[in-house]
Amino acid sequence: MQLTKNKRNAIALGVVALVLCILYTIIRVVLMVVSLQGAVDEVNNLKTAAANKDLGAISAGLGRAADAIEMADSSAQDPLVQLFSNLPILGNDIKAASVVSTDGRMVLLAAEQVTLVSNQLINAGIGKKPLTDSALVASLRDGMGQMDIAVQKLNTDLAKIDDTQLHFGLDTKIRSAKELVSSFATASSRLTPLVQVGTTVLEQPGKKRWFVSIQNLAELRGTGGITGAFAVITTDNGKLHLEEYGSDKVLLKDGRIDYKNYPEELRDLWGVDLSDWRDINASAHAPYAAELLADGWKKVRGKSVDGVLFIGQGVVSQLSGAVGPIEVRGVTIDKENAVDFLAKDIYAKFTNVQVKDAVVGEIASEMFQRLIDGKVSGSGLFAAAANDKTGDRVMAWSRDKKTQQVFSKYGVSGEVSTAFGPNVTVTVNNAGGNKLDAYTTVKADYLLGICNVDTFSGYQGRKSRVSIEITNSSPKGLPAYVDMRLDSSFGEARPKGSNRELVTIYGPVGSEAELITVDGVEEFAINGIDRNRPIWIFDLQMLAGTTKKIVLDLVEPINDDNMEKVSAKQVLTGPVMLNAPNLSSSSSGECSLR
Amino acid sequence: MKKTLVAISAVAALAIGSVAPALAYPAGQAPTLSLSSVSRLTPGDNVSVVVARVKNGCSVSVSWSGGQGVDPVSATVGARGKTSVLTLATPDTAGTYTLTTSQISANCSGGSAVTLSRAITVGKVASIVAKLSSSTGYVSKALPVTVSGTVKSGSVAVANKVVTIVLKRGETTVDTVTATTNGSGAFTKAISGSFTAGSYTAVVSFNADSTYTAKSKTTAVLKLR
Repeated sequence: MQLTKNKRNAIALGVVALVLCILYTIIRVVLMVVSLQGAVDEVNNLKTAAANKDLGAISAGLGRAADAIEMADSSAQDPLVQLFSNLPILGNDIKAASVVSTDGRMVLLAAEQVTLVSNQLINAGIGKKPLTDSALVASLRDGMGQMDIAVQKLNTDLAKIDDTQLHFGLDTKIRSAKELVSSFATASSRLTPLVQVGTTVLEQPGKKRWFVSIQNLAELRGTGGITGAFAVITTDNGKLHLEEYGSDKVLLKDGRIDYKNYPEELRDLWGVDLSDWRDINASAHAPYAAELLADGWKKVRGKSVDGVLFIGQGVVSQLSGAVGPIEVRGVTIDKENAVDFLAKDIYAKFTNVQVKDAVVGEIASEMFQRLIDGKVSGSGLFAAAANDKTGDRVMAWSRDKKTQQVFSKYGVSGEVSTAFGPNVTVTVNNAGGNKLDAYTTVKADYLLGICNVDTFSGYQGRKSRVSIEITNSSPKGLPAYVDMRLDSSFGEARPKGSNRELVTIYGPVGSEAELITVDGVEEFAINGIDRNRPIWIFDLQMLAGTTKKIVLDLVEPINDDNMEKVSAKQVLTGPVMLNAPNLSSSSSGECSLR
Repeated sequence: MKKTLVAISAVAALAIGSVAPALAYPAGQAPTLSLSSVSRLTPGDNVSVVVARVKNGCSVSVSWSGGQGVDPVSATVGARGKTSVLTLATPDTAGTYTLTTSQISANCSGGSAVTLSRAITVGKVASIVAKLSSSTGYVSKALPVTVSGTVKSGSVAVANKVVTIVLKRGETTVDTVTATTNGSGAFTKAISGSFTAGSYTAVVSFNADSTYTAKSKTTAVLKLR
């Protein structure tokens, strides 16, 4: 059967169009690869600028890299290229290059903005002189936030690429990119909250006083750790001044803090603990502890505090990276060992408490001097942030409501949410009065289960389960200062290395316990309400080398007081602790209102 | 920013804690009242409690505040600073009750004398959705006003529940009537009378029983001209 001339022409036209499409796509892919290589070359060139600590040159280099990758991104977004990414074999390579092009461009653009603004701020004498342009500070904060979002997306998307399915040497490049981006993502997630807090503090108008609680994560509390030391900083239209710093001894000598005006439910739970500087951060809700600290400082010095910041050893290790190794009495403290030294080794190395305090003072003095002299390495700070394995996170509170809203918006306020939704928070309070939490690990899981179960409190609900494993891995031979027990003994076995932990679970608003077990046996727990959240406190005696498993079976609401379905995301917030907690959550699916 | 870091770092290493005279340190030294799974109790169910961190040999009793017809239970604290498991029956009527210990003396607590208490809700909570309406909005028409609504607990309709409806003009009670929910938890009641112009509300409530706690709900304002 012969085809008509028209049909033959149509087929020929179709074949030509197909060939052209293929050629076009090949050209686009080649352009993408070439542009990507150009961007990689530009990024490699940044090393020189970085070595010279020339932020302006870094920013310009990032801009050139962003320009170079723009063509690659444009190719990646092309519908034909996207169509070809579904091809067997080569499709994976195209997909991988697309991810790097599109996500990478967003990272480069954000990084260019951050470095550009940072350079302008440094040239304007940030911190040393009053701020003349507060918009710049806000711009840095927003840019850092955008860069973090872009980096986390690139990291997530790269992780999804199966590099074993790639060709043309792309497998090794993507593998190495994964490692690099993963470190970058860790560093970014550590530094972004610090920048958000720091810039918010700096942009405050007029004179403000900030109390910095330096938490020791080796002795856990609801917001992190015991306040072992403090700093009081003032800002005067952006100009910083260190007003005072010291150890908890300064705070303790002025006695108890008045906590009578705090919520009754909070006092019911923690009682007299709230009056002691070392225990006032027992609740997970950082603003409670912050206000108590501010009230306490007013009593100590008669000066009002406008805001409070909480930091722990994780931040300290990052600063160690910034200032470089410090040698004190034969010991070198650097970004690699700062956390371990300050949480563990110092007690073994310097058993005399006065000597230990002197060592701490010398470290602080040297660190202070180097920072003042500008002997700071940005890359060292970044590398330390990337290597920070702690579960430390900065929290901030401001007496000014608008500023507090800013902290809240950036997720650095440490507030326990009072809203309905699948939201669980876990904290640990060391009730042994020791430093054994350097050896404490926590694994927590939050599972949303079956639907169509009502709560007794009148909400439609679903079942859920919170599981927590807490382990005391304290080794033998610790100094007495580390594994002492200051809590009253009630005749229980308390061999060396044993600890007492108060594990607190903040359940979702309106949730109810069906069953509480510890190591599979039904258990009694202290319960109450904090921030509209039902809470359960487990008082656990932990022998060295043991793990205890708490399981809390709940029925939790899926609607709110207006009978509307709760749309909030599932959230499990773990303790702020030295050893980053292992957190996981899962759901059997969405529940519908009946 | 850099100077903030400077200030922070200057004292950061001092974070290593030190022992100071004990006040309320370490946390959690005071006596505690611990309960087993008590969130979902039906009236008459038993509740189990343990009082802990009290000195050996001290006696502690636990009871419902106000008596509630249930005798207190007592125990002597053991060598581990805990009582044995104390079991009390919950009251027969749904509601929120306070479980209270006897006063634990300073000698027994190791600190200040203390009385521990916990509020416990027994039974289920049902919610009322109600509205007050009139077909005309004019008092001159002498038409009844209607109170309607539903009573539900979670997804369950509360049937055969007698609700009390108090019709109010401002703070003045105009009429008090009752209605009974149907199988869908719905109720409706027409209230006739000669009304004067003003802002009306209806307070719909029901008493606690052996299943549900008492509840009350005030409708939105209805203006009659």
